[in-house]
Amino acid sequence: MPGLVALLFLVIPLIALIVQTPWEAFPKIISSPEALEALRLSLVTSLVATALAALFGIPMAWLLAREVLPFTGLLRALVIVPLLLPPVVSGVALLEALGRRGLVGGFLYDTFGITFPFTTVGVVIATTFVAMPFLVITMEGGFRSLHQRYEDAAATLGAGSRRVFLRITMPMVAPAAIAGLVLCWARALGEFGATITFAGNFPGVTQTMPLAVYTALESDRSVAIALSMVLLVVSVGVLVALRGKYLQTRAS
Amino acid sequence: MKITANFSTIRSDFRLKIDTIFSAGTVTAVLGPNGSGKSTVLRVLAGLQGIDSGEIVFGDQVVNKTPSVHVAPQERSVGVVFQDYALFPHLSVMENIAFGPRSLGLSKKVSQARAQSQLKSLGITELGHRKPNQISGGQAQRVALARALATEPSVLLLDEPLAALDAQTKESVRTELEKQIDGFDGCVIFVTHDPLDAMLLADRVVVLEDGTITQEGTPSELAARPETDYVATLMGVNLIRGVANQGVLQVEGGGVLSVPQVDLRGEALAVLRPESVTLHLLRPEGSARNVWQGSVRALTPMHDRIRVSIDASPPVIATITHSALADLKLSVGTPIWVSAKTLTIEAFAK
Repeated sequence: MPGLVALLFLVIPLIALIVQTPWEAFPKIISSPEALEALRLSLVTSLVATALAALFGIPMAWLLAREVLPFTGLLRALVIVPLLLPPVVSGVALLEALGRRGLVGGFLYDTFGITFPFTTVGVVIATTFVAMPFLVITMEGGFRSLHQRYEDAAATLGAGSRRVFLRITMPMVAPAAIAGLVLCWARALGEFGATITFAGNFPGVTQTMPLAVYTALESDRSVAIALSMVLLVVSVGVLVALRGKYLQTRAS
Repeated sequence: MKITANFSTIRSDFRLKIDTIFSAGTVTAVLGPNGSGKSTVLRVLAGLQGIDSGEIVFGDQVVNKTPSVHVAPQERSVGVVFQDYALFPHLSVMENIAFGPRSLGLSKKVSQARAQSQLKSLGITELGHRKPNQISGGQAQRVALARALATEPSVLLLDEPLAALDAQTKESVRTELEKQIDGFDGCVIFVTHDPLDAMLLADRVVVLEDGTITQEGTPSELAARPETDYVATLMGVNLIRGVANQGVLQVEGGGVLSVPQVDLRGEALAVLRPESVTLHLLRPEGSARNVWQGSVRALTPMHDRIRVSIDASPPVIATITHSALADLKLSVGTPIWVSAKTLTIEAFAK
């Protein structure tokens, strides 16, 4: 019985969202300039964040998996912290680091006039910060389960570390890479707390879909529901993309 | 290409210390029990693991020299056949073999041609398009060898090349492997725990026990004069330690043996083959100079004979036929007389 309660608890809100969606007005709402702007901004920032996470996070996952650096255990814990941190706290932390008066941001602003908060770049930074750990821990698991002998064999065959990584390591961990990238992207697309704290909520500049939903909730509830519906569809899409991982039954 | 290896490497509490030369055109077996450090020797020579002191020289290239020289695996001219082959599962057999030449910067066309000729020389042309999980163990062994040879290395390293195969496949692959490594003009080093592989494939055997080389020599030298209990056990002979003086060996742990080497003095080892040991129920009176008493400790049936372990001073192993066993009615604990003619014993300085 408690199991069924849990099931209902998880499913009813989703049903409510579908039921309450103003389907007649739906096409009009989501094709409004504000909604399209938010959608475009969300797609761009989440994809850029995922690309950055891949570019830097995958090599870091490899370093953690191969225990190349000293204090790997401590480093892994540090990487996972943003995963557990309330996103709003991540936003505050980013402000203190990269804000105009931040630890690093102060220097960047004073020297180069560069500023991140309340810019689209700021959105990318906030989402990358929050989403990258998902990719890192998934990939680290993938790298760990890959026996080092394949990389060793490739090295003895004359392949430099770059070639080994691109031709042997990455293809062999492709399933983990796909899972990690999708999880990372889904997390980036849904990012709210760190973004609103670090980058603010400016339509067309930093107002991504989740922020648009939050804003609409105070003015026009049906718009908020319609935009939420879009994000729900994306989430279901992610689930389908990862079906091999989560929809498996014992029979398969 | 000659390899001069004089190094030591330490991993937690295990210390490996090697000082030997691997000559060009020679097949060397590194023979040792599990945990003796055999595989580490290969990893170090391949550059996959560093050294903590000493140096390794390939021909005239210093590949390792503490504290600063460590030539990376991809910069060494080595081919490695890993114990479980480590074929890349996402690449076809052909792509596996062409990976090395491609890594060396050869064109795709040249690399594939090279892979093709390797496949041909190993008689497995038809496997080119299969994935590693679609071929048998024996075939995988050949592909691994072909892949290692495709970069035309001057050193070929093989880690337990036959250990992963079942007994039947082993015979045919061993014959095949023998042909391949005989045709290879570089330096071949393989590690094994199987004395038969070492005897059949190697020109020279380096025995490794607990991280140090305990004996080196040709297979026949090892068989004739084992210097450690491990080698003696592998060769199936009795190895008796003691101090020799004028044809008499005072055995360590008790007993005396008459040996034919009358000029030998000081610490010595004596080899006594189990088939040269005669067993008697009553004290024998004959020409055998060596006669001593003991009791049967264990009886082990082999396919055409019985191995009898005898508790005595010195303890020995004898092999007898099934009919001899029936006549003597031996069982564990039976008191027994042992004899061995002096001339069947070979003693040498330790």
